[in-house]
Amino acid sequence: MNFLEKVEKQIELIKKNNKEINAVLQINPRAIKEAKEIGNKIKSGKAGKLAGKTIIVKSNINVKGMIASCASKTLENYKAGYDATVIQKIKAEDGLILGMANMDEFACGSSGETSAFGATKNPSNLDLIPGGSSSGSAASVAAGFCDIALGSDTGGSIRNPASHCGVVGVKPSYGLVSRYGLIDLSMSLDQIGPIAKNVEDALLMLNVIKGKDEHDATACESDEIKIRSLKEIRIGAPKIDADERIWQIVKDKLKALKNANITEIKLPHVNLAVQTYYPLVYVEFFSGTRKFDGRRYGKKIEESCGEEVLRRILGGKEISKAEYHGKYYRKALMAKSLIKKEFENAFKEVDFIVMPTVPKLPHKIGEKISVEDMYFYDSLTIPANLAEIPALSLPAGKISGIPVGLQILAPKFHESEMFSLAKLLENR
Amino acid sequence: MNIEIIKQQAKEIIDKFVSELEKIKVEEEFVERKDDRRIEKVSTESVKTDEDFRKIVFENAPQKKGDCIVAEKGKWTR
Repeated sequence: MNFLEKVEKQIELIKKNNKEINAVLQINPRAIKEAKEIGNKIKSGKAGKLAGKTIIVKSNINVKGMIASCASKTLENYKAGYDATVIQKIKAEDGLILGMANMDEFACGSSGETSAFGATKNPSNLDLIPGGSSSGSAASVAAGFCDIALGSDTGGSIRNPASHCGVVGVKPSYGLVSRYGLIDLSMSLDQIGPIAKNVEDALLMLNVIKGKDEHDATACESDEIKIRSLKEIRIGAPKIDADERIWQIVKDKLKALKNANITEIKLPHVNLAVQTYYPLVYVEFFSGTRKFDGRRYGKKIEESCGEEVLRRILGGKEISKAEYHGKYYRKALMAKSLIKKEFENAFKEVDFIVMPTVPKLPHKIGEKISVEDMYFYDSLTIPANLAEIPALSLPAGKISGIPVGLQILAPKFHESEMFSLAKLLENR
Repeated sequence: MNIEIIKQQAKEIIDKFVSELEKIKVEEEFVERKDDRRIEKVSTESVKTDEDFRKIVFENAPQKKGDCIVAEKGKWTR
């Protein structure tokens, strides 16, 4: 099957199955034309690193000419006028953008249910949530709609749905990938990263999108990420609360490593990660959404968004008031720096930290969950964002047919080591 | 959606979270800068955008008048 035939087949599959899964919001109308052009390059031997790969992009990343709605009524007709840096890089390496993915509205959610265009379903069990906020990205990969997807991860939004859908999801170190063109949730925590069927494709994509960018001062230059052989592996397993069955799957997977020394480590303040994260997100999200005032991008956000988005905006507005100076955001920043230091100290003793990606199994779509319970879905993924370190969710097994992911955390900018361990575990 | 209820709920959640952060004892860190003046790159060249960019920006704007996007102060609050 040549590349054009593959693209046609995937578009057919989306048209057939997306009515049920609801992972894709828009198919690229130029996909066939672009597939022909890339196909010709492949034949002539002049194609880039991503030639032959199809990509679906979370709808909060600008792809020129496509709708970057953030799965919100606020931006439902917003057509991106430019390519985000990651998209420029993908196109330069002949990756084909196949479409735009559904997501939690403005990335505010952990279940994929807050989209204004309907919840995404988990391809492994259509009654269950796929996780979020990059719900459509992970579900698209799991359903075979594309080879690789892009998501954004502020507190677990790539890893959480990757875990529930049984695919690989990567949150890079803060500063590895440019955020230019990402419609932000929380600028000090957001990172764009890949979701793929396997470690190799996730690595391929991350190597393409990473690197310095004059449009994002936080994006740094970095060496190529390579899989290397790991001789002695020191793994730390923190004492944290999670479903015992999920922990058991993670432990069983680690047993397969013959050259690993696994020890229990202490991260005393990591159980305050959720409490640290939300004051930061509320304030930064409130600040970031002031541009959606109805003048340039359609509707005023407060008049057109869903409940969770409104909660974060109103909460952020309230705690940003001058009378609360130093009480919320600043306190959360201090806790963030403490948690970051705890990880730095832990990585003096171990090379990796491994734990479940999500502490519990996904709930049924529409099931009533309290706001706080929903926030605690991300209790094991938020720490990596606060510590600015890379983290990868790898399929580890299944419980009653529901995929479960394990999470590998590594020191900042040690993506090569993280991918090396993931590769080692992938086939065991 | 009741805005007042959502606002109150958000405040209660954050208050609860921050009260748990109160237990943390940590020294605040600051970065001392030698010079507080930022050096801006001054360019005499105008920013170049492609042909489509202007067209798409105007497509996205809800109200237009000739070559302008309508955005008078207060207009969007009504």
